[in-house]
Amino acid sequence: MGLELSATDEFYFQWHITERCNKSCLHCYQNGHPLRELPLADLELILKFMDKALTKWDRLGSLSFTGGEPFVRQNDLFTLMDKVDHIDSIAYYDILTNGSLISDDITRVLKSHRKLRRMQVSLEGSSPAINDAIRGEGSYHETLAAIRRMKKHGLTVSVMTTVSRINRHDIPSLIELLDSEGVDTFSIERLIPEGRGTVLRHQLLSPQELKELYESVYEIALQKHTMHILLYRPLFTLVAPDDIYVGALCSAGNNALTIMPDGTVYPCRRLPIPIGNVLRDGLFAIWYNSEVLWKIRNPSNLGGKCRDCYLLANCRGCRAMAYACTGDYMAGDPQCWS
Amino acid sequence: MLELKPGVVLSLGPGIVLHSLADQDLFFAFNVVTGDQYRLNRTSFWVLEAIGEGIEWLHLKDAFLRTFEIAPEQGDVDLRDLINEFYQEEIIGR
Repeated sequence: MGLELSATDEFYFQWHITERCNKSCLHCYQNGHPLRELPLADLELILKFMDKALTKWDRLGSLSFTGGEPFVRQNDLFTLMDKVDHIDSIAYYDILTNGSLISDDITRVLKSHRKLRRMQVSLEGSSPAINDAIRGEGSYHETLAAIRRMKKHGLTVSVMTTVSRINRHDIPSLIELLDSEGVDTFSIERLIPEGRGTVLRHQLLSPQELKELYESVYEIALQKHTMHILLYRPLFTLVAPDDIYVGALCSAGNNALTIMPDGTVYPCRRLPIPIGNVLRDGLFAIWYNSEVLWKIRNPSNLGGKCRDCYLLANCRGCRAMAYACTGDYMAGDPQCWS
Repeated sequence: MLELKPGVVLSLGPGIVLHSLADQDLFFAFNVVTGDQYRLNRTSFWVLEAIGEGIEWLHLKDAFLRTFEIAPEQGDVDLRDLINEFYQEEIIGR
């Protein structure tokens, strides 16, 4: 628990084992038409591909199981967790869930898995009014109950919030709430206008609004909290260029891949450009030969203000945001205030 | 040891692909089947690119000597050494 790997040592897979979900959040990056799902036997084969690649690359793997809502495939999820617990090349895994299907019995099963690092749920605000407007009526209390249940059983709990104009003023209150609930880590992600979330384009933060939000979150993070506020996201480095715990290069093309329920591979879930299928192509061919990945890897392909940015070594903006807003994933990050 | 004589046409090994980030002076060969990866220098990459285009041995040697302005005898030795190293690593075949 609590293990963190450096970007150079780590390779991360975000694995969407299903796109089925019992919720219908306004900002979801899914488009409402779930992809075909692979049977468990194929998912186990994908695990073997991951292990083979990580072993060859001599990198320690980390993994997030997610969906959709991953607990709609609860039995398959537990089987995969059992397998991963015995794969040396994978250091740990997280589960990204809405928390609504997690009972006490399930929590006990989760606790028995030795490589489960964190359970991540999402909460969009410190009150039902803000959260439920995005995630559906009742989801605020449901999520808080899930947090309390998981904490009671000793699980490490993380909360992620998607920031937009809907909730930007509420983030300090939300942090205070989560800290008081004993949440272990908190992170924010920017709303990306894609999938169902396309209709929220007008709720995107302007560069100035994002600057103000990131600065306030950084100030809060410097204060004493039990909860760890994670700041390793593109653009955060603008707030504190000399703080090594702030900001990060986007992992797309660098040390991460996203695998979809049908085996399709994306550079990142928020950058939904298919670059192969893991069962058809294998991970080596995708990682070594994808034109999209090679374009992303080369900073001279960057456009806009990212191209000549003085922080190029630490931040190249969010390629997914550029893609969603301009159609060009190498364009400058539209929310950068530099 | 690969016999290099007039008429021999070299090729990249099965599964080998080449990529570079030339601005950063980074050159690579990858095997998409085995997962092996090789960091190359600019000269090695140039040679492999030429081989990938299906160049015949004597033409490759001539182009190598011209491009890198090396004395013929030394260039011949250097290029043979390089190619044999690639061959042993199965980066190239024939």
